[in-house]
Amino acid sequence: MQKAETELPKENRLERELSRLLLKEEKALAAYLMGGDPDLKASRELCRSALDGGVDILEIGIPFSDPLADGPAIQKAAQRSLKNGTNVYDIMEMVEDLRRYADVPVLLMTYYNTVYKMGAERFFSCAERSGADGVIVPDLPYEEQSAVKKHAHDNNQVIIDFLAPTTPGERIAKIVHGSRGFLYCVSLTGVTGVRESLSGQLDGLAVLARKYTALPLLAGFGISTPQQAVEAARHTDGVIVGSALVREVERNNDDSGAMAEAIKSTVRSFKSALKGRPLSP
Amino acid sequence: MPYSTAAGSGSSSEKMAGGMAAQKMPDKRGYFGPFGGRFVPEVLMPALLELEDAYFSIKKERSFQVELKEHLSDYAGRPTPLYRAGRLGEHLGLSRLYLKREDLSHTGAHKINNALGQGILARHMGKKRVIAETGAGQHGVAVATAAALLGLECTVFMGEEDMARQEPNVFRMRLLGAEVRPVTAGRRTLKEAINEALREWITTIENTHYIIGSTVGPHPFPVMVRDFQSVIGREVKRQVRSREGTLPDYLVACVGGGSNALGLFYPFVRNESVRLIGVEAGGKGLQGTEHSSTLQMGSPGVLHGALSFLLQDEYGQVSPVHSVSAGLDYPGVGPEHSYLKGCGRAEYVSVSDDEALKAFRLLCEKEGILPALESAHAIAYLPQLADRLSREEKSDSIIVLNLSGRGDKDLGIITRNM
Repeated sequence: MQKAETELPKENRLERELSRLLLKEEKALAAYLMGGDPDLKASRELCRSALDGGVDILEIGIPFSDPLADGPAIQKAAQRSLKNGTNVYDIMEMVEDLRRYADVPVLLMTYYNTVYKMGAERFFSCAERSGADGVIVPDLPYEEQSAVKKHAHDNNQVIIDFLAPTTPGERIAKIVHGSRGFLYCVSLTGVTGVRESLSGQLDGLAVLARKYTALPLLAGFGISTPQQAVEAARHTDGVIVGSALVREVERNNDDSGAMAEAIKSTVRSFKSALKGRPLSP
Repeated sequence: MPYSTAAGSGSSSEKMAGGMAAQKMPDKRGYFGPFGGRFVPEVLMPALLELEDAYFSIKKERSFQVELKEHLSDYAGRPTPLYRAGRLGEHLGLSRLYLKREDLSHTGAHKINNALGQGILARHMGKKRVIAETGAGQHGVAVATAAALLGLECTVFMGEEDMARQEPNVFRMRLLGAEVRPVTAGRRTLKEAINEALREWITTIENTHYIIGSTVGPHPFPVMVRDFQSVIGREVKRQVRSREGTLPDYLVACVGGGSNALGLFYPFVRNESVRLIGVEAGGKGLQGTEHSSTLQMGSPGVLHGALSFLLQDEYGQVSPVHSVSAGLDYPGVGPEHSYLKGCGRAEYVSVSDDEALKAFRLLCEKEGILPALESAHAIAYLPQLADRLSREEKSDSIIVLNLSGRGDKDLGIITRNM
């Protein structure tokens, strides 16, 4: 890790923000929204609503036809977005627009074929120009990153690594060796989606991961209520909320005003809970 | 660390590699030249590494090989016959045309070879449950059969569209005690069934093994399925040698994901005189997207955990595809086929839905054999192959076609199309 930092002198917005939160002993809230869902214009507004709601990190999905790691909520969001013809460049433009609005770290979340088809060099240089800070690619395990990592780092973009409840200690050690930003701790063996309760697999993973890394740990997958977020943040540095927000988009599909309000208030309720000040319902 | 060639496509050195190199593929990271790899969520990585270890160590164990061999012979009916198709050959002007009768193996297709191999492996790994995807239903039936035989729980994922067009196989799977779970996403065919099976595997990884049905998916699936299917090519080699005293000249097989073709081709890749021809589904024609001719019309991309040829748009979204045959109706293809195409060791062609339907009838009438619609694609290429050959070659060339499955499941489609 020491070595990686000296090779990469340029500080990344995401890393800066995470350090700031850690210093304040504040849990990070990352919000995921599918880019272009339900359409590009509304999606842009929803991102702003999430920022207004107090999100610390924004993750914007680039829709892919076959999202293997995603459950029904995000699958449907990708289909809504693709139906309108959203492409990778549209999402980059959206990030560029958001960048003028706020200085919050933005991560692009997509599947590897999107990066591969565009070409890693082009993808990451476009990402940097748009003002993004990195990518989350769930089907790109560390073994397969060598072909793209250089292009990401040349463009000051981080690639977020995943840890799963199935990842053994010695593998965690190998993964975190080249990691930057934070580690995405998958809270359960499963795909993304709203769950009734947390699996109980997360605490063990977080405790194990701490033995191998000083990087922040953010928990994701299945975190659907502020209460679950507080629970998940007990042993981690923050949480990622996705399907619970995407579901609000689906629920308010005909009313963009209601949708924006729902995203803002949902984000706000998560953030307050994480700060230890739950909003009364 | 070995340099990843994942970002590149076939270089000139690849093209020169030829059959000897092809026989040694894949490398340790699951790459066939630039194709293959393991593009899956982290949850699956430890399971894939465990599977790789288990497979490569069990493969060397005599007890495993003996157990598999016994199941293949006493239960599945191997070796399958190599039949000289005299009347069809005469009709096409091909004197030495042979059919490898995988349709005669238990459950009616080559799929049983892989289902038994992976089923036994799953049991050795202590897994209590197996899952599978299926397109035409032949792989689903084979896995349901192996699960019944080996005492494993079984769930099969099948697109709703395929459940309708291959209904007899749905009934067979249920009779065999398997749960058939309908998949309603997208075009409701094979691609979506694999998506759902992979998601289910992610969720139940602790006690479940995923028996993937073709030479696709993340490493080690493509090599493992190829190895289990290679029994086809090994038998053909022996059978042709004893009948003709030499090697065959042409091997012909249909290619969807590519398991029956690789099973036939692989034992011959180093025998460079043997021409390997894979026949893809041309659907309603190669113009537009109503076909599944991945190797001819696609470009490199990542789907279902592997880098291989893929039918996709300019942004990397996987294209909707079509074939009258549910088993070939797939936008991807196994990475080893992409490699064999890239280095020029195998050639890939395609025939349309209509040609395949005609070939189905032709084989019925000339030989009294009902082929699966998938295998009918390979038959449909024979007239074109005959056109390529000189008069002398037509009488001398030994042609072996893999009749990968039987056609009872397709009677509904055939009736509707006649």
